[in-house]
Amino acid sequence: MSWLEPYGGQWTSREAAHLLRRACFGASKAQLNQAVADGLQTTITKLFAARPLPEPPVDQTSGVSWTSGDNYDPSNGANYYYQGTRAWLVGIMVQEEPSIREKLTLFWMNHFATEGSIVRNAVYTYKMMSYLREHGLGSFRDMVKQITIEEAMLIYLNGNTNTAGNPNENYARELQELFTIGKGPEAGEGDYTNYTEQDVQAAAKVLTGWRVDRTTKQTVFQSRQHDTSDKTFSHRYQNTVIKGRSDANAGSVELDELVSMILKQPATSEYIVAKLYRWFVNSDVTDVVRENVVLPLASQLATDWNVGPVLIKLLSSQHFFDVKLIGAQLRSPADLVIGILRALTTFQIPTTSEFNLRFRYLISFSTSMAAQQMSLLEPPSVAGWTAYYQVPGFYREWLSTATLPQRNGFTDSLMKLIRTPNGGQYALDSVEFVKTLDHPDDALLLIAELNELFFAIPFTESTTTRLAEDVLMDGGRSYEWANVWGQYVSDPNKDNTNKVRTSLDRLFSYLFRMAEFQLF
Amino acid sequence: MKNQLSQSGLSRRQFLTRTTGAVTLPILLNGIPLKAFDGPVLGELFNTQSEADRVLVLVQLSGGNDGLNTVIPLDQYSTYNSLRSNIAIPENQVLSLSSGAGLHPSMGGLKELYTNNLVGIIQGVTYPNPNLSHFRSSDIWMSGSSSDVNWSTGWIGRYLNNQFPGYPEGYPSATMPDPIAIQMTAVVGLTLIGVSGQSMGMALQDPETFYNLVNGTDVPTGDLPDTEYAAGNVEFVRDVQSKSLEYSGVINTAADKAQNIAPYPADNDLAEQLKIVARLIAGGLKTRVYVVQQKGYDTHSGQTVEGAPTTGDHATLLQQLSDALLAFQNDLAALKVDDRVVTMSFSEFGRRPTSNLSYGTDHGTAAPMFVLGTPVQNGITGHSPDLKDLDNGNLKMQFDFRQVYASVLSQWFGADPELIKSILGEEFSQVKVIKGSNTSVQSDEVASGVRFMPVAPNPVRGEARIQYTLTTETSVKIEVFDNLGFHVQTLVNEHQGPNQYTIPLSSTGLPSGTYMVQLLANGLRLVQPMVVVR
Repeated sequence: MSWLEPYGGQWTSREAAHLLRRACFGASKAQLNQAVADGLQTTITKLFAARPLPEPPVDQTSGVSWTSGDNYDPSNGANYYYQGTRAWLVGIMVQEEPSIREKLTLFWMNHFATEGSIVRNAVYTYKMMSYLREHGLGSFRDMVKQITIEEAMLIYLNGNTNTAGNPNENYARELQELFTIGKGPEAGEGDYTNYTEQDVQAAAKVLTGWRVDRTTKQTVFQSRQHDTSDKTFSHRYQNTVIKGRSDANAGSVELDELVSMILKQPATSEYIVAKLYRWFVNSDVTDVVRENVVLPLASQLATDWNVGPVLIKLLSSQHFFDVKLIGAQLRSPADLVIGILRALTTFQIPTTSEFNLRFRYLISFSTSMAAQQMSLLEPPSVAGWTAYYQVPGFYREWLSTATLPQRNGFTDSLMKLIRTPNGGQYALDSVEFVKTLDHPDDALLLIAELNELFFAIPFTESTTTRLAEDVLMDGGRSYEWANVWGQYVSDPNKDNTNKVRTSLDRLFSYLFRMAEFQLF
Repeated sequence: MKNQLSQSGLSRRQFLTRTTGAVTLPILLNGIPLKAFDGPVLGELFNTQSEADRVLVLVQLSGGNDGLNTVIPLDQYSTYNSLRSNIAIPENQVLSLSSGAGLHPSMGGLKELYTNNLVGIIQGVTYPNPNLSHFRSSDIWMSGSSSDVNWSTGWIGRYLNNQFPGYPEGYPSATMPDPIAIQMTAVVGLTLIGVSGQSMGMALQDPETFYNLVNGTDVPTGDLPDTEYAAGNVEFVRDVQSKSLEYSGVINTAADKAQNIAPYPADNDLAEQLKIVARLIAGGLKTRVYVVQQKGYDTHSGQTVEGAPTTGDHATLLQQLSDALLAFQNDLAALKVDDRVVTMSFSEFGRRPTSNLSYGTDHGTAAPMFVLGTPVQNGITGHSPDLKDLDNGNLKMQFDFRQVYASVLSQWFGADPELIKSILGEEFSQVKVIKGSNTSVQSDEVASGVRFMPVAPNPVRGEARIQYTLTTETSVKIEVFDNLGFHVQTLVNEHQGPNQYTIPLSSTGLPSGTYMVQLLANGLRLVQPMVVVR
């Protein structure tokens, strides 16, 4: 079958934009042009190329680095540092060169979900996120092992208090239900097809003894808190017995065996690939998609558990570029906010040297995303954002009569002046922005360009005409735009500028409110 | 048919109120199953204003509320204390209720409501083969399914879809200009998903903000993309847009029309949600169901503070819950709409009786549900969970949550047994959640010259008294049916004159269970439930 064969069809800005939306939230006009010029293979190579890690966040007031734990002042409150990290993260997502890394890091942060408001220490959350950023294309096996003993996770799912005398099953359950093998249909009482309640209890015992040391603030294994008995798993794991150990390495050795046992089950690689598929491609995993895409990739993943090659294959496949999958997703708040900002090359986000001003700019975007129900570092639960698992709606979970108006409010606000100490600017200066495009003077071509840049699906001719006449020209003829624009270019005085700005603001406001804009 | 109904002076609401407690008894109208009357005529008759006024407010306690520290089993205090000594509420601080149970000390507000006969507590609610996953168990509660099937529609969604068929096509309409259901969160949950996968409700946070944000969106039109997923997505978004546009005006008007009267607690997210709900109800929205949510009940650790078990995360949550419910109920009363609002809480599961060493509790099973409001049957249904008779370390079921759903659908919304069965997939016996009689029924009974009193005592162990009053001469037939609708015996079948009657009924020989006592007189059909215990 050809589903996973490399895509060899036409390579225009449509296909390039599809790839850049799914891999990195969206792109600027220049980035899009570059991808078209590069072709698919080179674009993929660039998207997956190793890149230097970003500089860590700094304290938004003092500018000092706190992520090592030094300079971290608990009296500021945990949220102070989470806010700093969120703003930092928005900055990275908006300003990174085209790369899959941030979209993938967000995927893993959603997969191995922790809530900042429960972890209550941004040092831990940042550390875990950094691990996933650095290793997100690497070995899933290593990832599971490391995440299990990450400080943030030990706190979040109570691994921290899981001891021989008093096992806490929270992490052991979610490890199987959500992080690795996934929960199957209930086959009997306490039997979830892929694992059973017995396995939850046995896994909890394997994981006893890990905790965050109060003094060093780092994960330690305390062998005297470890359950040294043999752990017997159900028939779902072929009645595997993990031998109890009591030495100082007992924790890592048993964890290693536990992860091996879970990863040996075919259900695990399928679960992970299906989750990647829902994040990057489409929520609808039909039987034929399962057979032709998910299962082949799952067996590839299971050979060495390296994520990168699997994703490369998926994102360069014929299936990925199937025209019916373009626009099959609905924008997440990140796809919406980051996607727009990545395209807005005229917007000057203050540099890191102006750390406080930069923070204030960026936190406003993170706050907008939170209002749209995607608070970074704060997924709603351990299952992550509902849009990636909740049947039957999936991506539709993002959009309701409450959140859609929030999106409209956000996109409108892009054209309002942001006041700063040295004057102010618009995030979307509609006049300056269209000047960076190829055809600011031709209403129909301008709309076609904006369509390509901001929309997954092409406008029909009648839609383009309607937008030009009813919206941009407010009832006038589309060809009259050339005169209006021409007047402004030849004499950019206040009146002429306001005239084009009013028209363009109206157009942008309308475009971003269109149902089609939500497709991704 | 219409004539016969009119002659007996029955409105749907009165008719159905009278069938309160009818478990599986097919409703018969002069001997013909009700279903045979389904159609426009009956629909018109049944869609009375008064019934449409009834509102249900669902309070979702997300995360799995620890029922044992919410309603404390004072009658088994030492066992309770030994299972969870590190988080047990000290006996002398429990707010004692009747029946050997008491409330968490931070729930003074709820205690006040209880004392004023405004709270019903149903003990030990869960379902067979409980699932301990938050997500799965929430889905089970919200869909109303059993634990061995996955349903992608919600129990309220299915009910409302039956009441408003074809939704969203043709809505808002002249008779239903308002949102059918409103969820006071950013997202509409499974509870409200109707049969076509379409949510019967809309998500709303703040009416004013909503109005302002929606203002400026065009009525969505235009071509659809020619690929299936994209076209479906555009249609979906346009539908959300249309709903926002169509409803923003009526919501804003309703919110403007009424102001909250009673004070609400500050820094209480649940109270903020209920505050808006009260305004919208009093402002005249015909919305039938509101869903509000309080998060944070997943208290694996830090449920209580070490050494101070009446404080900690759980105490804070319960305080917020109790304060919010008290304020809401007071406000509804002050706004004079309390007689048509019932509030019900639920959580995906209770927690394990044995606490862990992190001053927390892990996922468990059965827990109490609260039903609040002027119309509710106050008091405690069921008993404190038996802490010495656990199932795998977890509390045993006393009531299936679908019994409570069936009761609410029947007793509050007047849904007939056929409909309830179609919503819940099978038949469930009911518990009493709504007071048996109300003004309209009494006046109707007085007008007809027939009053049928509740069976006493109930539950019955030996002999029960069946009491009724006639103020007119009429033929009377009293029959007993079991919970499958089978005829058990006929007590009376004769012509009687005005008088008070007391008929003895011996329960000897009757298997324990729920029975219906039906009285037919002067064109009326009145039913009283009876529970036989051994």
